[in-house]
Amino acid sequence: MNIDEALILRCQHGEKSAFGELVKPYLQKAYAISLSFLRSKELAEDTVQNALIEAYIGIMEKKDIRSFSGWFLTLVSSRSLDTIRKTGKITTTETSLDQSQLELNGATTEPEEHLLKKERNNLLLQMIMALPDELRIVTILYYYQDLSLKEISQLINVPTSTIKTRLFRARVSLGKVIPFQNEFKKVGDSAW
Amino acid sequence: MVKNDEQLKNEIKTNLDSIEVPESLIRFAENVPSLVEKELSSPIKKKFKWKKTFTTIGATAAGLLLAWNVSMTPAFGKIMESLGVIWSISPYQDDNGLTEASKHSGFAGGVTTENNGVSFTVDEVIADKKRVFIVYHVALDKEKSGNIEDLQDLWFEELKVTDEKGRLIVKQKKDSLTEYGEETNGAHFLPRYIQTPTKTEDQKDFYGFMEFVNNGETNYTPEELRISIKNLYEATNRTEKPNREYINFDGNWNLGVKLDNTIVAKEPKTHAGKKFSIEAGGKNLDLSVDYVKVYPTMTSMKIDLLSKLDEGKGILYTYHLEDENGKIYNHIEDEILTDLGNTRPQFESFYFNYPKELYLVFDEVEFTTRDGGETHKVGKKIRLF
Repeated sequence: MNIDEALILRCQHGEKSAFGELVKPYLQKAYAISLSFLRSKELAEDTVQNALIEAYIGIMEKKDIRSFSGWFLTLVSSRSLDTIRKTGKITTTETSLDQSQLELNGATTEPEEHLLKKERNNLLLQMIMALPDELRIVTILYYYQDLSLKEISQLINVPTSTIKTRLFRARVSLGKVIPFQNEFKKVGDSAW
Repeated sequence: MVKNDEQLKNEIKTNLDSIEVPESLIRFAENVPSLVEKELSSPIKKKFKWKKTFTTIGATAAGLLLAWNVSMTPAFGKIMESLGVIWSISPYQDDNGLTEASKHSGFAGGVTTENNGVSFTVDEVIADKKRVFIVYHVALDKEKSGNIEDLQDLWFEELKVTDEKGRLIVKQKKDSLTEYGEETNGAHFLPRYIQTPTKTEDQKDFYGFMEFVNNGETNYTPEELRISIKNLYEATNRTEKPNREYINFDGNWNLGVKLDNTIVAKEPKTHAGKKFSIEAGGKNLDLSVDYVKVYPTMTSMKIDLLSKLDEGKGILYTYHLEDENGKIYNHIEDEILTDLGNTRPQFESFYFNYPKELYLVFDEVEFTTRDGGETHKVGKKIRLF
């Protein structure tokens, strides 16, 4: 039994503090996923809150949860997609990112190399946030949440070929800040 | 995953991991058990007994990307108008060719089946030799199902679509990976989007659509689509009511939809290809449009790059079609996209309002390189006919 499984059991036995312990390691990632989907602090926080409630109920209902982290983060992704649907949120590639919304960490005095890297990272983050929804969502699911193409396909209900196309476009856009080798040619080949 | 893909992954993780969690969210997480307990202690009003279950997360959000609101008995054009407002994900939000084709569809509509007080009805089918678009709705018998005001969307526990010979097109099943049909004789008929039943603005029925595209180079359309659905379940948790139970509608809904031949019978209008050159970033690119096929619902094209790209470079085009009057037909999707310069793009159709002249307009060419890529304005018009 791993730590998460033990904490789930403690939750089910009525130990309220166990739930906080269980979710705390995943909260940052959950919030980052939701924020990157929704581009709104308020909506992201609401969505993660709802996912937390749903997760707790799932645990108390003794839902079969084999890997809590994967299950919970997928739940957050699902609910974030749901929020997009509910709000009819329209986003465009021209949307500029309010950097203050992202509350990036970082020391004020850093070696030059670190600063350069940070500058590039900030630019990358801005570019990710500026991607159209369909590109940004698959980018986060694939590169950040580590979902497979099949898992993404199941989650957002589009064929893997379409996901590959979207990832390709995202890579091309992000290539402005992250230099890639262009060694994959046909989408769907070995690069994936 | 290639080496640079790994680099991108690391960079993205570094970036997103630097986002701080609000303190209020951390506090909320700690208090969730108490909040839920408090909510559960309040009285629950149930109008009827709901079967309690939890949705499978993998399937819960499937199809939720395409949000839309439609009127109760919408004409397709009206649906598309509604979709245009909030259809924020789909590349088809400005697909006027599809809307125009709908006006020529002879589909009578109203193919329906009912089981356990729930009906599944196919309202509209637009089909040609490339693409099939279906609009459907699910109606709940209010006597049997009660007035479930906060039920917003449903999902299929199992959805299977085959052709008239029983050949699989797609099968989605809760807790299982989606299965797709195989390529047959050069035709590969695949679902592109399946929108789950979503409640309309008038809070009555649940509308959805299914879009299928033949991604092969051989023309093909099934004579009939056979749709089988087993059980419907609530897709979205009403988290503002954490004690509210999920809702299932058990049943089997099977129907066959014969595709109206009015548009299917129309052969695509094919135009011979041509070779040409465009200049981008000081480089001459020799290209070949191998064919242009104009279907009633989309225009399909195959483009090859004849020039040799420098090692480590890829290429991507931004383009549209334009007629002699400057009317633009947008690029809507790709059948195949590569960074070798070879692609099969799809554009809005003009089948029913054929222009005298058609131009392929290259707006930009983007070279993707390991040094960060370059985008160059092109603005070159190639006359296709």
